[in-house]
Amino acid sequence: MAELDKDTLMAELKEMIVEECDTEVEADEIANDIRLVGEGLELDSLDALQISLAIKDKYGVRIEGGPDSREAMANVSSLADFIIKAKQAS
Amino acid sequence: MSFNVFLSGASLHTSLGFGLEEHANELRSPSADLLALPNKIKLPIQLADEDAPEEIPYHLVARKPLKDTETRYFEILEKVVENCLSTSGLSEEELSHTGLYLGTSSSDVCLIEQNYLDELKNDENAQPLNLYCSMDNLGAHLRKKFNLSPLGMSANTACTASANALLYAAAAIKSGRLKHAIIVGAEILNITTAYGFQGLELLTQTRMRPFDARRDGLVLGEAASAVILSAQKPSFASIELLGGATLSDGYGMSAANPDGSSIARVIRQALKQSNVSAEDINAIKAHGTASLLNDEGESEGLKQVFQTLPTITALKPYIGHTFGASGLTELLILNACLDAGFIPGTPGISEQACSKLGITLNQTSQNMENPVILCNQFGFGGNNTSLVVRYG
Amino acid sequence: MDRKAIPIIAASGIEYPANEEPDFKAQIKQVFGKQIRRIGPFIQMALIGAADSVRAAPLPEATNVYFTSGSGDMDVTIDVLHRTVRDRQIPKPLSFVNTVSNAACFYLTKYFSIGGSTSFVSTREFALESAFFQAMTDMSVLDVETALVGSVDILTTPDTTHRTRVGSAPAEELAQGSHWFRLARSDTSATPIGYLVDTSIFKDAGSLIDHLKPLLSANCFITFGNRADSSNSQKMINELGAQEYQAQKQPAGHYGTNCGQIFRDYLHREDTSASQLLYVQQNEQGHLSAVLLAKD
Repeated sequence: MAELDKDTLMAELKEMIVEECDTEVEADEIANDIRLVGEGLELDSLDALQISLAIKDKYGVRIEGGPDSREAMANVSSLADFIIKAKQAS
Repeated sequence: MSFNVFLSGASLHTSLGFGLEEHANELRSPSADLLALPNKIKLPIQLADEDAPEEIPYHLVARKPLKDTETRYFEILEKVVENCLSTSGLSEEELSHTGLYLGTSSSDVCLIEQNYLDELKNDENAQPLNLYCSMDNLGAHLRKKFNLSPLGMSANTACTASANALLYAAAAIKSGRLKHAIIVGAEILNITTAYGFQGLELLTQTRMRPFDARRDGLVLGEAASAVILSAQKPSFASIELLGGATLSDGYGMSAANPDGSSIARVIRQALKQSNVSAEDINAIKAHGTASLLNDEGESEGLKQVFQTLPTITALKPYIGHTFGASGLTELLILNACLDAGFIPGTPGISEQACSKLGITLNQTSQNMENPVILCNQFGFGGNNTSLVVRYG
Repeated sequence: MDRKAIPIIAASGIEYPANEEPDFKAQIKQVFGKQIRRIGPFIQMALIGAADSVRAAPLPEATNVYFTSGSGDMDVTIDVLHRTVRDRQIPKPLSFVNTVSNAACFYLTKYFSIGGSTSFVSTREFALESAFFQAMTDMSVLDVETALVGSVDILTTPDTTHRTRVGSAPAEELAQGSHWFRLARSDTSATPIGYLVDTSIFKDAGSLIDHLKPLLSANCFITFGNRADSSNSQKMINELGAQEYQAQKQPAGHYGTNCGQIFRDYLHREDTSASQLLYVQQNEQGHLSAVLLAKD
């Protein structure tokens, strides 16, 4: 896969979140830095698992449980950084 | 109005063995092996993902290796029901008026998976669920096979299913609609449950340690169990279902409220319905799934109801989480142990106490005669159930 | 009215033939004023169908839900089977948690503030009957003030496989529906729209007739499920002295719990006062279920 452009990736992730979590907001309404779980987009731990699985399916990047995953799952921007970093490392 | 209905003809098959005696023998002085992670097994369908584990720990029912899904499924369940009916002492005529209440979460999904897998081998465009769909297919099969009453039903309320089946049947007996009922708990290996729980990251790779600081999830388990419920007290010592309650919780789909409020509420209602006070409870059989949230909710709930906690035992470390079958199966394991005069313990589990929970499980088997016991079950979909039983 | 008969104070629901594609998401938004995430047609239909019965009067805390389905939430099961068996992938967490049959009960509890218990019960071929049976049983021995008895059955594709799943004949019309009945205690202050007099299952027509004959009034209608064989039906009509019920709005097609449509039809029409309705269905073994409703 060609190197991922962060902006493109963030746009894809927003579409993915809307699709997987069935959110009321549209993809382009999700800010890059809005919190995903809890206050913010108001997703929960089940949504987080759903997103992790979709990311693994689409990008082959595994987000394991633990502090790293919480950090990665903070917002769309941090998710994109995590994926880019994991892709570069592999 | 309390139920005061009695259990007889208890029959069960878990990883510990078949029948009451084998369970009591294993649990009297349990060996360390019994609490270790069970053998890993190869599931009938392997994940395509290269780094997915090929094998997964699973408490299979004893002496029933995995082969021929359909034959195995019916053999396990029919044998447990047959054993229950034949030891119940009920006549053929009485059996024809005995209603069957089945409690299961996964129902016959292992057959559905196998059917789809077989059809895919011949046709890559085969459709899943190419069969008559009912949550009561197994119940109907057993009613027919054993010439039971046409009355009865399946309860599918996730992990509380067989505990709820017991409550529904108890109400039917109390109301006079049935004289006897047979309650069946069934949970047989299937990949939906196995991979589903893997996806929820609720499976441990170490050991199942409820209420322990080191707890990190559950182990999957199979079980089949059956018992007769009647209004009349049998001539031998037995379990009496004094009462119970099931209440719905809108807090979360996959966990009870961790503040304990919904669990305290269902325990209080169960005690009230059974005409028993918290001080009368001699022992508690915890749900204890060793998941972070469930154990939090359960310990909070218990502490809100009990000023001094009685002996608390948990049985899932031995047999795994048998989901819909767990309510009845764990009750019948208690029955087996109480027949032998003791309440089982789980050496080493919760030894490293979690300060947040403040619950220590019974560590060694404890002699106990005629106790009153609270049995907890909590399930997905916000379904919480507590039973109150008395042995004697 | 018989002292044991249970007042029905509301009935509600929705039903669609196979050629209609309702927008359940829009209906949810209309009924609840907002979107409810992560639910498919099965749970959406449960919530939409139950809403009017729930809102007919304030719900007491001791309200229990008795939920049932002939075939269950086949949509999520199919989704999970595609993932696990066909694609050999972990099921999606949000699909997996909805495979528990009582998933709809969680949403009913959350959005209607159910204070009592919720359950999913079913008897093969007699799903709605089993929910009525358990509600009646519980109300007679427990402190249940209100029971919401409801069913949902959905359509799936493709058509031929769907017929196998729901046990329908090739030419039979297909449909989907959600039907809800609100039962109250006999001392209710609400005006009943009808009564649940009895529900049971019998080994044969003879024992059904013996049991029901003493319960029937002179003005009794009778109607049969799709599996009832005609010789049995004729025998019951003759021996019970009942007349065949002509629904104003028949079920739009086959699904496991379409008797709910007939019950609502009977309860809501104005020209059936001081009568009874007996519904009889048959299972594979020849057992017969009966549901007896009545109106003042």
